[in-house]
Amino acid sequence: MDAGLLLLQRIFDALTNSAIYASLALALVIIYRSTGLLNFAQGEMATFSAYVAFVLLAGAAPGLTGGSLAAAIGAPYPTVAAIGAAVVLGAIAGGVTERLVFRPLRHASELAMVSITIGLFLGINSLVEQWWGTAPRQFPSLFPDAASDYLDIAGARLRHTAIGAWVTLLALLAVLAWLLQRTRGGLAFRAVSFNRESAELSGIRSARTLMWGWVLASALGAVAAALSASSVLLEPKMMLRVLVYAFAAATLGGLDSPRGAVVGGVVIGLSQTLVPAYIPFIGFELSVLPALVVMVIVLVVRPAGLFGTQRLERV
Amino acid sequence: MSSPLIVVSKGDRQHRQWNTLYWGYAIALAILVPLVLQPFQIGRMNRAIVMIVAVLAVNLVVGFNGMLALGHSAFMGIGAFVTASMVQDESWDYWMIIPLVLVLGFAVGVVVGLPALRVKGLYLALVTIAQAAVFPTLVNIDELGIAERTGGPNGKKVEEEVDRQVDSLSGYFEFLPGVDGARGADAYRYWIILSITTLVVLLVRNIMRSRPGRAVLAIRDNEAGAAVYGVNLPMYKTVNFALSASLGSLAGLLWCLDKGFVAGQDFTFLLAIELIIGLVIGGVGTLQGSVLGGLFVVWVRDLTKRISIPMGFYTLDGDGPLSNAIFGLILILFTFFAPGGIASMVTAVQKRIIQVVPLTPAGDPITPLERLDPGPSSARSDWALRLAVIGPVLLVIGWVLMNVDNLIVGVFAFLLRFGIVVLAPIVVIVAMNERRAARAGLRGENADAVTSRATLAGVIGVLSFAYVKTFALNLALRAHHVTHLAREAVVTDGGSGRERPVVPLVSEAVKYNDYEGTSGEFCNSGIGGEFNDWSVDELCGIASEAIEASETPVGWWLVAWPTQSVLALVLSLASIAVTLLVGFRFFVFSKSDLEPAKAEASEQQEATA
Repeated sequence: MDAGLLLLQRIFDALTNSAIYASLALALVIIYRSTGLLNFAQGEMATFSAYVAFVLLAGAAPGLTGGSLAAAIGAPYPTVAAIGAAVVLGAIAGGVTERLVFRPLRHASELAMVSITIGLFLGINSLVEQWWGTAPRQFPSLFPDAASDYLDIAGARLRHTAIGAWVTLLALLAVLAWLLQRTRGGLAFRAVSFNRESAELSGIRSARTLMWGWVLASALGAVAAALSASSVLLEPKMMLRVLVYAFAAATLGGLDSPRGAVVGGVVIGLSQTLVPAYIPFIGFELSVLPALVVMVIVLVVRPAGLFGTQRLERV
Repeated sequence: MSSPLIVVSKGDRQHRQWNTLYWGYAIALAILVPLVLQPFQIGRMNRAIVMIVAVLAVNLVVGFNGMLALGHSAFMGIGAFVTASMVQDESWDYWMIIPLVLVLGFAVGVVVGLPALRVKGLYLALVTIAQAAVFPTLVNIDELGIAERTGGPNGKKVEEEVDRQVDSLSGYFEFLPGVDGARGADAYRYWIILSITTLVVLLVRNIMRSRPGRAVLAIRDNEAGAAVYGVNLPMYKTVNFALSASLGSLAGLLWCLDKGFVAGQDFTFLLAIELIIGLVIGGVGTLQGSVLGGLFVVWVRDLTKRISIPMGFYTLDGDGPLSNAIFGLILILFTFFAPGGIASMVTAVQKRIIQVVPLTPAGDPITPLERLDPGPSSARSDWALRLAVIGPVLLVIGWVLMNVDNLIVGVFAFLLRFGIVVLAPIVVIVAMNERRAARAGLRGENADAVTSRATLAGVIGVLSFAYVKTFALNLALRAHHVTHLAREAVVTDGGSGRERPVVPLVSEAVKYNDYEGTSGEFCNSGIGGEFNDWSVDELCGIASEAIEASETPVGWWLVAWPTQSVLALVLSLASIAVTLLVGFRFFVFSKSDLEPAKAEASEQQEATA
């Protein structure tokens, strides 16, 4: 295999991870953009949804928490239906979290907000461990994943799962763009993120709008978790790593830019695969390093990220 | 409560003496702790003190400078690994490494902080998260001999080397009773870590009171304003961050000293999160907050692990993943209901009870001293009476709860019962003051009511204090007695036919088995086996019988280390003496206090006549 082909193959291999990072980064960006909050619990909320999907897929199984409950509402579901239901449930949970926890604290300090998300992070993580155990579980693949399921492009193999992940991501982006650009609610959301006070003065109910932001973000996170679980294994700590990469991706693209989040996700996913492959000094163990170095360099050179809004401040 | 129960003016002789005594008492207690605790508890205490330094380091950036930093686990890791490597590979003494670790931490802090601090907002948080996430993998790099120095994925063990160094100190502590064996090694570490930590806390306190410290605080409170006044923002932020990093590394050094083993997975993002939890729950931006927070994350974590509440179909079990959930819940509750952390709660209660009135530069109290005269009101005597009744009620509730076999409830019950030791002296002091003030004519028409209520409160206070202290003294005395009884139990040596005391033999068996717990736990653990031709079960049985025969609730630990019963006795007596001395010497109105007020009151009477 010549060098060019190898490079192409490696890029293809990185695509699934890129899509996962991009969708979680998108979730982080939506929440940061509207409330100026770094949501550490995003990954754990997503993991929780993935486990809900798992339970809906499995139905009543011995020793599976919630299994009989799921069976009572008709589980086992087919894969897509189960994940869809879990995404919807995750989205509702996200909205409820905003209403119960974050709305009462909207005037609190940054540190208070961050500690709340850290508290949620710990709480949800340990609930998942408590209910479903730490053992990794096999999550069915969303897309055909047999050894022969790939497209041959110039000799390199583009697997159907990677295509599926990207189709999902692009579809989500299209829906998101439509929601934000073409609907009244989206207009309200953009107005609130741009200037909350002015938006409120023109009659927008900002609190309710922000709740919809949380709903969207949680849904995106749930999709990211489902993709991640089906590409590796389902386990309670699986999203912690992804969260760090997603933070790097969001920072890289600009914390308030959805487009930047996707580009950032791709760059981080690629660098994670390519850098260890071409720089022998960095083994796969250290694949997290290049992504973070890139992030720090971007912060120094262009603090607002690649696509972020430069912040001007009046003093 | 309209006005505080006790008012003193700041910096006068009485206040200074009170402070000296208070701090003297606190320091003496802190130093004596390892003589009272069980060996494994000393280990937890060491970890708690290490966490105090780490939380303080985070506080420097987050609390005092208002920037979010979430990656101090990495600085701790750097300090710990450098210490491990220098101690183990280069045979340095740990105290020689302190300057090295401080300088290194500072340098790393500058490298990390300089780019991140030039931009505003949450970027420092992001960079530090990245740093925390990457650190555990960094120590595994094979290149440059890093993995060789850090031990790679297996971690690095330095216990023996550290033990050897710490033991070289033991000669200086030999005169202390009961400090030997496993307990001794932990105790020496405790004293080393405690003294370094005390120095660090004093250092931070003084820095924050200096010009650069005020600049750092100014940046937190109003960045633009600070810049206008000529504060070099990037410089101060970076130096402050680097200082915080170097303190974090020092915490790592202490960690290594305490644990004797370092591994990459000890210094993950989760440790960084634990530091933030300690900071928020302890109290952001205060020194007391860091101290309380460090103690909290270790001790409360230990407590939550022992929660086990059966709820019918489901058992709430803290010794598992749920310990984290409980922590998360506590964190959220604190953010909602006590944003100032434990420190602000303590301050709020303290302000109700005693108020220290600050002085003007000329030396007068800034507000008129209400010490003697809160107006013609009976509020203070009312409160004295209420507190006097509340104390015994809490005592009874505590006693009832003591019978519940649950550690958390037990601790709560202990705190309730302990409350009266603090409450009763306050009640007595306020009652005496109010009686004297009423007699001096300061309570006007309320004089009779004040006198009768204060008298009643004072009597209840004296009785309840006397009762509790008698009870405690009696317990200590009996424990002391039983300790000797139990230690007289003997067993015959099969070989030589000599009689040997049982309790020290059990202690030796514990050490011989490398068991990290008390003799009592050891005996219950069923490890069994042989020790010097005796069956361990037999030894435990004889000793337990001797303890049970005495019909006094004495723990194994008291019996195993008789110094503790002496210490308990001495501390109990000392606390009575200090309470009486401090209370009457400093807070009860003296004749000279009352004379001017009396004169004034009689003048007014004459004027009206």
